[in-house]
Amino acid sequence: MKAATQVVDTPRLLWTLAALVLTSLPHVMHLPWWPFVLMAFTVSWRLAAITGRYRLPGVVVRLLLAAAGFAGVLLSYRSINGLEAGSALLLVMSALKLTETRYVRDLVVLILISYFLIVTQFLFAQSVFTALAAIPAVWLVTTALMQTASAAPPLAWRRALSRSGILLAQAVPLMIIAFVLFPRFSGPFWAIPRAENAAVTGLSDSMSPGSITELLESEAVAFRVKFDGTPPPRKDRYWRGLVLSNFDGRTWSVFKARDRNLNPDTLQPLSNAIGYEIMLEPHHQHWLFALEQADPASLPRGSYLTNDRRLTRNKPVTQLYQYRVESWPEYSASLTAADWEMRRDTQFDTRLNPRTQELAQQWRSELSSDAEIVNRALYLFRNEQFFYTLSPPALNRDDAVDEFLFQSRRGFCEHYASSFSLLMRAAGVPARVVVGYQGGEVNPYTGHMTIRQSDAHAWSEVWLPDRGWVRVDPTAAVAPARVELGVAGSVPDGETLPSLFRASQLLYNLQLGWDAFNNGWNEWVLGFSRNKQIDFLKLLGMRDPSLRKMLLTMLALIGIVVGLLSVHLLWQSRPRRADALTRLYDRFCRNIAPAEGGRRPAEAPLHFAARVSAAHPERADLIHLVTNLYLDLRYTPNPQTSLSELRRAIRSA
Amino acid sequence: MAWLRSIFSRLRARLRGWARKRQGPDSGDITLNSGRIYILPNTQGIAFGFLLLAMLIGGLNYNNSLGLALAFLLAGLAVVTMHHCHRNLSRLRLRLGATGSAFAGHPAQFSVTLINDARAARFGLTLRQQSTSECIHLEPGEHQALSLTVNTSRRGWQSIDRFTVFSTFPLGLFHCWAWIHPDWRVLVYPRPAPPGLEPPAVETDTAGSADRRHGDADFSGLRNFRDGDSPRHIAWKAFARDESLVVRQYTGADVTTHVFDYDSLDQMTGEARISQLTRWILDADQRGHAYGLRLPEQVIGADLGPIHRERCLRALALL
Repeated sequence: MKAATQVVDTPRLLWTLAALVLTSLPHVMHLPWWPFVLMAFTVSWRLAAITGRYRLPGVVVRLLLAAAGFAGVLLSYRSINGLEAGSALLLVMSALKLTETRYVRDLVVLILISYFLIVTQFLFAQSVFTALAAIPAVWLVTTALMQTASAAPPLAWRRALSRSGILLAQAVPLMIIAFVLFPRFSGPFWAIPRAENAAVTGLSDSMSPGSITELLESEAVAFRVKFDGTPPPRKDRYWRGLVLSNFDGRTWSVFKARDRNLNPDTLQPLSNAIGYEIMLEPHHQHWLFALEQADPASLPRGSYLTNDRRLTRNKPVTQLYQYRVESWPEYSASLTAADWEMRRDTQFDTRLNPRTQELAQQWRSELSSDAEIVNRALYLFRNEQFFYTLSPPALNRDDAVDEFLFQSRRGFCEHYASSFSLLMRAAGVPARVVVGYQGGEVNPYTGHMTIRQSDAHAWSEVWLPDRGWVRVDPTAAVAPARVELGVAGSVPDGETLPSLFRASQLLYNLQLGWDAFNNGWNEWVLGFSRNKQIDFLKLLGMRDPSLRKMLLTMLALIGIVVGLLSVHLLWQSRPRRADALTRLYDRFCRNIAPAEGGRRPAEAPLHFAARVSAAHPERADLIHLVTNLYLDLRYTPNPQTSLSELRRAIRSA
Repeated sequence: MAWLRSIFSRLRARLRGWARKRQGPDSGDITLNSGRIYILPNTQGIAFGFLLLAMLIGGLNYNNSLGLALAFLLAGLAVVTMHHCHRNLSRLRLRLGATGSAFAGHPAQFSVTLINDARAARFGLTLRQQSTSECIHLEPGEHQALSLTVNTSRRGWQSIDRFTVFSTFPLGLFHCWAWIHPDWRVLVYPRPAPPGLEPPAVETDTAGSADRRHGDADFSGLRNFRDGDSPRHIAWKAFARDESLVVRQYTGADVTTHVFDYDSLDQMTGEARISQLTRWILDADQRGHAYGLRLPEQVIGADLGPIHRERCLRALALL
């Protein structure tokens, strides 16, 4: 009987169910619960049916179930497109397929779907853990395929697992060759479905009191950086992300109405550029990060600088994204600013925060220049009783800035940046809030720099007549350590810190090692794009890696590996050697009387002995001795002689 | 589709003819060398290929490294599997066994012993002619006999010009096979007619009693069982008593003797006559009667036993 049309039997069914269930379960993380209930239901039904006491559902029930599953997907997602809806549909359909598995062929279909369920998992996450979790899954699915797909009786499970493990292990070198050499393409053929409700910690395009606190507690990596040369000192590492120009008295947000490209002429470098490569974790947003200030001529493809100098990408970053930028640590921006920009960045709600307005207007009347007003404000933060703390009292009133500046005086970057910028606007100095990251930690193992969500920072930018836009970080006035040492060094003793900052030395080192590993993973596995591939091949010594060359090299290497494999398999299945006793005796028979031509195929030892000793009476004693020893060793349950005795007897000849 | 299928079948026939000419006839012990082992992906293998293609395109499009890596791993797995599948047959030894015989309409059995001389196990070995044999694994040094059943329809010599030994193990993605052209032929006996028509008048040996009810009168004693004794003469009571097989002996040849004549059945067609004669022979053999056969150009004297039966059936089969 052919395997495909063989009727489903219990071991085959169990292997298939194991593969299907194991590859479906990880989807629990991002799919609704009901496809899993449906699957549990059909799995139980199928198991009950194999006992023979229950029957599989008929056509009508199957159609109803299919319609219900389809409707369920539509209701959950309002679509059957998209990553999540698609995965849910795949899960539902495989659950339903279970109800019509009559032949082995149907089981094979389910096993192939299981492979696909593993791949869909990768579209949601590609971390080291996802990859590690996929190894047992692939192993189990392959074993299930082996136990199911051929007509052979299923092997014992240990043996099956070891055989499929061997197959997979032998496939690994081929995978590595193909992974390194198979040509990559630079752009997608079609759009990538977006994960609809991907909850990612990261900056948002607005800032209200408390919005950054959450980030400061997160150890998640925002991005990693590799500098061409030595990284700039920590206090200069301001990673510009978003510029918040709109202020409604409480919340700062991005001004989107006039989002247009920067005129590159308004930007002048005042120092040499620093080049670096950023590996940005997916945050599903359009903005990118760069040190202040990115050179407009060095931007990655598909991105641009807005007129408030935000680095923005045309498409959201849904996958690990690697890009290269050059930045000028010293620069001048917008010496002559547009009127509308000036007007926008001096706007505020005059009904809120009256005491702040009063203070600002007092400064305006006392001081002669904008620069002096800025210094006056910084002087205020530095010399009055302001404290840097990660657990400030809640500011709930509408006049939050008043409350902060004149009462609580405890806060961190967002409070200082927000109140400083409002003070400036109230005094007529164009000002806005910039959010991004500040600092970053160099990993001693690899030399790359890791910027975590806890490095999130907010600072201000003011426009001064002869200098253009100038960065002012009021937090640095209150707690210089924040920019010199990072958050951990700037919080007063005794205050509870998020776990990240509390780590012991050992944990800290472990974390650095883990981060180094992740950096390598991102760089060499996930970020192995076309450019990376070509760089890597050049590093390996391939000159001018063209498509043709890559394919030919790949095929040649695969040929070599496959050749080695077939030699290995041949060696493994070489003929069995006869045992030592047979070999010894056969050699004796060949050599004792060459003229007699050795022992004939159907000649018993005693017959041979009789024949040869008749022809050579002088050797009869030896022949009979050897024959008797041989027969004793071969046929007596507990031989009196040993192999070495036989060997001695033969050698004595 | 029909024309496609006809092209395929014609192509297959050409290929088989070519293989046959190349390999020559097989007999006795056959070791499969790689020159006569063929391997191609089967339907499941093609489906697997499409799965790989989908993964590859998806992985390239989304620049999803792990997806690509899995696609490459599975592609590598397919290549590795192909070699493992080929190894199941490579240097496999087959010993063509005895052929049985069968009555027309009943399957004839052929026996093939598969011998694994290698140090590695061989998996999923199957024989196929018209039907498929059992599927077996062979451990190193192991051997096992498989039987091939072939349907018979007409009496006379029937030869098997080819059978296939194949394996799809490990993953069922490839079909690896070898064609064997055995020098086998099997004698197919005529199909026995349905029981009903009683054989013609009986000549009874006068030395003994025809009537089994009075058979005891001729009972002369017991002797040890010899090969060829009819089971119905075994003294089962004696066997139950002391487990020694003894047969009852009768004086005289207490045997009913028939002579089955082809020409006596002149109201039937030729094949029907042969079928009827076959039926009679089987029945007479069953009952322990002696019988002879009178055919148009051959006469077989009355006798008993399996060799005689074989001779008669053979004569009928080849008539």
